[in-house]
Amino acid sequence: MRDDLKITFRSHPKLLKPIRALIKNYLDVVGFSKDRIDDIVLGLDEACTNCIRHAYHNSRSGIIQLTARLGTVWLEFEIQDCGACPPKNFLDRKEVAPLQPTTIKPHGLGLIILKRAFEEIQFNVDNDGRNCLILRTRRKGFKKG
Amino acid sequence: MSIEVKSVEQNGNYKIQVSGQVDLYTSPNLRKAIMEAVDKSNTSIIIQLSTVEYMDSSGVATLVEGLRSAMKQKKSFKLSTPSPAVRKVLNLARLESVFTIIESNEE
Repeated sequence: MRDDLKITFRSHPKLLKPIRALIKNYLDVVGFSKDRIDDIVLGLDEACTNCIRHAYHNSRSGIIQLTARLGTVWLEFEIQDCGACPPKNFLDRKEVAPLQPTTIKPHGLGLIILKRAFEEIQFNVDNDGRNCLILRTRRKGFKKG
Repeated sequence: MSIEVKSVEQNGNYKIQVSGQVDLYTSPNLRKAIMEAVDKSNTSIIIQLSTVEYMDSSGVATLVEGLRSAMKQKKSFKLSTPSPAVRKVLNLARLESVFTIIESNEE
């Protein structure tokens, strides 16, 4: 799998819009449908928002690195930050369906969206202490299975 | 700023017209308008979402917060004509059935 795209940006929420535009153009170039592009862009936006809110606690001076890797079967994104480490099992939160207004935590929705936008999600901390979130989706023409 | 929020009062009720992109950066503007409308409104708040180009979980959380606040105050809180982008994120968050959704000709 090769690195197609690697960008580094500050943890400022105003940068989310240009990052979305960049990823949208990239996904169009590599051949994803409009519907999948919208899902993936939304999922990546949620991942970057989580870095800003939870890893950097809304500080605008953190650094986020986003890498896109394209293989024959998978498209993979890696999002790295140097902020606070999330709880060990944060990806294991179970969805409760259907959600109700009285039970929804207003800020618990990002992870639900992220998990529905990607087929595989992994989290680890690398040797330099950076949080690494890996998000994978199959390329157009490949089916789950 | 990539969002425009207009609040219109009519007979003590509020309609909020939202345009542009709603994300972590812009959702505080929407939150302020919604919470003010919920507090000031007599009975109902309608959020017009037909020209929203993008909405993430920050925007959805803002709508949920508005709904919860309206429910506590026994006021009605409706989403009008959500754009495809809004419908997508509501669907992904499994929240379409939580909100009362109306089309613009029902307002």
